[in-house]
Amino acid sequence: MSQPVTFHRRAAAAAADTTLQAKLQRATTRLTSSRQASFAVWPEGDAVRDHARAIRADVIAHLDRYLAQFAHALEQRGGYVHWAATGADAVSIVTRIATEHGVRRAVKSKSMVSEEIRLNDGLEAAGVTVVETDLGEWVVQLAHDHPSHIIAPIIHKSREDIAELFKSAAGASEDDVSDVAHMTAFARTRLRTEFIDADMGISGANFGVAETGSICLVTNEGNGRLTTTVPRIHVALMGIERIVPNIEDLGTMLRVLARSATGQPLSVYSNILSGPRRTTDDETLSEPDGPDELHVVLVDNGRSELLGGELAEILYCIRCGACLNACPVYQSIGGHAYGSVYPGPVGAVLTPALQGLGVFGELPQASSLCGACREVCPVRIDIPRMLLALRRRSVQEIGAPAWIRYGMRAYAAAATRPALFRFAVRASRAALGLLARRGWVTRLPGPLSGWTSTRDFPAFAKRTFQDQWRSGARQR
Amino acid sequence: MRVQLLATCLVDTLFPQVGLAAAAVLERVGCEVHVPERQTCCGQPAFNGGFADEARNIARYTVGLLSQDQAPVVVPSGSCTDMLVHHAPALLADDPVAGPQARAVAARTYEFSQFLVDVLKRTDCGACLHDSATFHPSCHGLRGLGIDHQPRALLQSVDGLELKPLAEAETCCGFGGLFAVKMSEISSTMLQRKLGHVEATGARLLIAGDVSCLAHMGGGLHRRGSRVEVRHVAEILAATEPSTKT
Amino acid sequence: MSIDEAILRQLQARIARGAGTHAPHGHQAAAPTSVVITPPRPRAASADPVSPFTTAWESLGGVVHHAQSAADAISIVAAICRSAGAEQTLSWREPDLGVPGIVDGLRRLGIESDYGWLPADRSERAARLAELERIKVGVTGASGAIGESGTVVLVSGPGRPRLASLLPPIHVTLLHVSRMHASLPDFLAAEPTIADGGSNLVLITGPSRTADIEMTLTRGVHGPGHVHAVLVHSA
Repeated sequence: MSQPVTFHRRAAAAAADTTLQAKLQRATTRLTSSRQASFAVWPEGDAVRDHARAIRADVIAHLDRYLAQFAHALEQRGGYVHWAATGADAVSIVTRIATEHGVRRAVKSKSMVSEEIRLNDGLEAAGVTVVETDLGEWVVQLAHDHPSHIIAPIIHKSREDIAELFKSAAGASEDDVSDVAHMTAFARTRLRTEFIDADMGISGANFGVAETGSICLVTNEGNGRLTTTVPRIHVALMGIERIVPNIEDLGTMLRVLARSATGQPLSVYSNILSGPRRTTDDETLSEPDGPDELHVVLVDNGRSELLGGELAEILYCIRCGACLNACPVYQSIGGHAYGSVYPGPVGAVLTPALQGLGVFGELPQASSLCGACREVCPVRIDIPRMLLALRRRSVQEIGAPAWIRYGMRAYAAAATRPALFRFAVRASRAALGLLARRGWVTRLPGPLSGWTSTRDFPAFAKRTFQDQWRSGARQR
Repeated sequence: MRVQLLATCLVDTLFPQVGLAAAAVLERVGCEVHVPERQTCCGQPAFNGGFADEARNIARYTVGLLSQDQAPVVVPSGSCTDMLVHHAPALLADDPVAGPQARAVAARTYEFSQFLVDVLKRTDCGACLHDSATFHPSCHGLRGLGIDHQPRALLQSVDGLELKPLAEAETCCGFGGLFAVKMSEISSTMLQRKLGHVEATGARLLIAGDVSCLAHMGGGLHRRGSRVEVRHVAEILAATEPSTKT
Repeated sequence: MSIDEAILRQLQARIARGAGTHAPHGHQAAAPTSVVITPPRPRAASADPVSPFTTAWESLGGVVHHAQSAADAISIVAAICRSAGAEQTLSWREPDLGVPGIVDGLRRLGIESDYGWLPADRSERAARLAELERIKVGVTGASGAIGESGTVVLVSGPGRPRLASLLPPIHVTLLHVSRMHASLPDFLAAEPTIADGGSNLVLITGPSRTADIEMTLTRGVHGPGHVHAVLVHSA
């Protein structure tokens, strides 16, 4: 979902949209206070976060070994493992599986990786109808829209928006949309037939367990379970970095994930799948249900490039969304403004890391580096550090606007030469003095005018602190 | 105890009264205050902008300046302290001279309120100011250095000062350096939200430990025609209006 | 094996290029390689996980019942079916329910058990699913439960259909209190190979729910909206 370099314009429009902000604030405040309340009653929470980080750090530092272990164990269980170096490869693989099995309809449970690689478009082009089953994602699909949050995809939509949508795009009656409970019941009934008619279930995977070759899907709705049980073929897409070493470590991740995402001690369904349905010739010794085939598509799509580098830490992310909720920038502009599958602080690092600064160079600039994200991250990812690293890369590879480039050089020259610094201060004081009225500047020139669009700027003091101190001025 | 006061570039140029106030408070609690001459800037604007070479050069200069005296360095700014304590040593890690200097300076550099409370073990600085105020904990100090309880303890000991709680206190005011100019719409949205909470407290003064935040919020308050005035923690602690208790 | 050796070597090479550089600056350096990761010591298992389980399960909207005997358990399940107007259950087989005589007991009360076999053939499967979809109550056992979060642990297997805890709007879990643990780490320490028991291990914590529409909580989206935990106290 890459877009031309217009993040700033989208962000500015979003920042002016007070309706959007009200929705964002409602959602993010609810989620942050739930998270906070949940950790407040969990005294070992901080220790578990440290432990969770250690697990992820170990995995990323030995990803080759753990991936090999995972693939081997999954194949021992009768699952199929596919490696997709790029998004296009992943789409080809899933399409091939679909066409080989005569799949006409597929149901899908939420997968961010699938959005990253635009899987639905690829499948539709191959004649496969794909129906999203996560309630929020289904709404997004009906509306030909995009999710605006990792965990709560339709916080930008009101219930009236959704009611209208159900009526116009899904055949709902007035009664069906009379309230949220009715709308949810309507969605359940409509999507039930989709599950039953589907030839293939497509899902993401929150985690892959190396030791057992299992994948784990975490949902609250249950669509993840239906998608991976009812259709005969199950295809799971998973980023290569989502591995944990064993079931015990998975338990640790599930606990911090749920509390960080929504404040629940555990999500409603933590669904661990270890290979397809287990059958023998004897029906009494066979599992009664489940898919006959399980395919796991491991998606690289730029992740391996980050290994061993200063951005490798972003691969620790377990997609809880806590950083989005805590980020005052995200709270001001919402997810769509970022123009990518991954919004918020994690997206501001991950998207340029995977797709390059050329298109997404503005994202690392859209931060005051306040650190709220790092504070809530269940695996303690230091996002500000990586934003700064990306800013350094941006300066080196893309170059900053001229006024910043020259400004920085001039400022650095002055800041290392005290006499020049004093001169620059005097010159700036004089210049601002021309613009100031009663100690305040209401209009700064050129690129600095962004400040004075909504703020005044103080005029320089008549004498610097150092001058005053040197001349003996003291406060009594 | 002898201390070096690093005023910071924004205090030097925009709010010199904060530097004078900080010196006065330090002297009042028994310190001998030395202001290293030819101080300029910590290099944070370059560092945050991604200009590593420029940031390194400035850091090298400042660290060298502060190495001429072994006295602890006190800085009336959480963000500048964070720069000197965390980022300057990393920037200069490979420099055989400035590297060890930076690490040594980092080990004896403190934010103003942190120095008073954690090093000098003082919360009561003999300050007196009858007014109402609310406190905004600046982000770099708060999350970079854990500075929050120190300024609060100091402010609570100010005779006559009525401290009102600020909603969403720990949410960023939206300054972020060049961010305020480059992404001014987002910055302004964050600012207006913060100022709404500030005005809702009914306090007359808005106190913070970083003049960057104060310039940002003060500029916004002035534009709104608000009667709320901004003050640095040091200015509050330096106040000694006659107490009504005498 | 389906991951090419060349790919794995390339991953290894990329990781290796980072070795020796100083740890990422920040508040937490990455863990050193090959370190033994020691989990935080779990809290001492509480003497009574039943109480926290009940609190958690009920706060999620679930119902807790206590059965002192097999007969008790059978009556409770029958009562749930009756109030739902259900004459059929989608059920695990009796040995895995841990309540001897339950199938016959329910049959005598007019309630039949369907064991949820799904054929592989496409059209048979769809017809069968439509049939199963009409069943209002699912009945399962559990491998264990977790007090801290209000969670029941179910493992699929022969005679243990996944759909029993998923398809019907009402799900009843028959759970022996001896299998209850205080926390997830406690449970996994007690049952380290639990995930090997079947193709699907699911941790169920309350009824299916969503808050996607305006952050308004609704239960019973795709999975069961009504969940009952029958705590069986007999051996």
